Amino acid sequence: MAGARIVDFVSILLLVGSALAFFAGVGALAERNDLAALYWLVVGGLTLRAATEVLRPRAGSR
Amino acid sequence: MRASAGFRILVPLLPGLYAWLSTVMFPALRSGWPARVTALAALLLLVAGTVMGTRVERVGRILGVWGFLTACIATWLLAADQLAVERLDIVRAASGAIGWALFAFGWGNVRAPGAVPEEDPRAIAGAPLERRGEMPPGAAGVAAVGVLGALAVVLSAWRVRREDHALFAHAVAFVAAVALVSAAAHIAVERGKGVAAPSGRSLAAASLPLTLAIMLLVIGMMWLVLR
Repeated sequence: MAGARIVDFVSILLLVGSALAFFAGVGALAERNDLAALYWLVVGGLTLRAATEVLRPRAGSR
Repeated sequence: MRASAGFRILVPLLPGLYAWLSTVMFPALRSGWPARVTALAALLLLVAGTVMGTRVERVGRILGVWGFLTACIATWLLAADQLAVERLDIVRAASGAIGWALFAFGWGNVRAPGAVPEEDPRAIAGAPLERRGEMPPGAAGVAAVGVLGALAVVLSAWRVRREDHALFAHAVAFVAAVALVSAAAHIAVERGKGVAAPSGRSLAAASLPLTLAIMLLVIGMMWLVLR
């Protein structure tokens, strides 16, 4: 049960991280820093993908 | 329990008035009389629609939603020179976007407190639908994190002042907001499924994007240090 809780926590942490990365990416666009914007948007996308993938239905969980 | 007529008028009227004040009135006042006439018509249609909506809902919606929107769009077309990106006030534009979202909610219908949908005379008779499971504890909190993050991203796009980049920023912010809300909903529902530990398969699926993200973060930190 502790392992599942840790994964849940990691997933939420990654969700928050991806929101912050998207926010930084759009903010970098506002500051005319296009390379940084691209960087943060890619980081946000990857982090969000990891946040959902880590909670995919697991073998024997249903 | 039925809401009073005054309350039912105010719920769609106030957000509509807010949207009108923030996005229609100012460009109309700076334009010629045709835009002012359509802006005034929009306001009158909104008031007439909300008042009429308490008596004949269909007529109220035609006036208050379709009539109001048509008059607003006509105003924007007539005051197009006032709506160029470089002339937009960021705060007013952002508050206008929120106002239009509230306008949509204001005209929506929600179930009255205590009402049972199956008791509606138009409900199709049949066996009651049983819920298939319970939401995990804290699901609303996780969903709220996603919604707040999405809102922050969408609002931050209004800070971009370069024309082409502003359009791109809004498109990216919209996609990111949808992805954040979808992911938050997924996490909120899938959390706490009661397994001891994730299988190697799920961790392997997550490890690729996570590894790439960590690699990018490390490269970014190194670039910051070496710069």
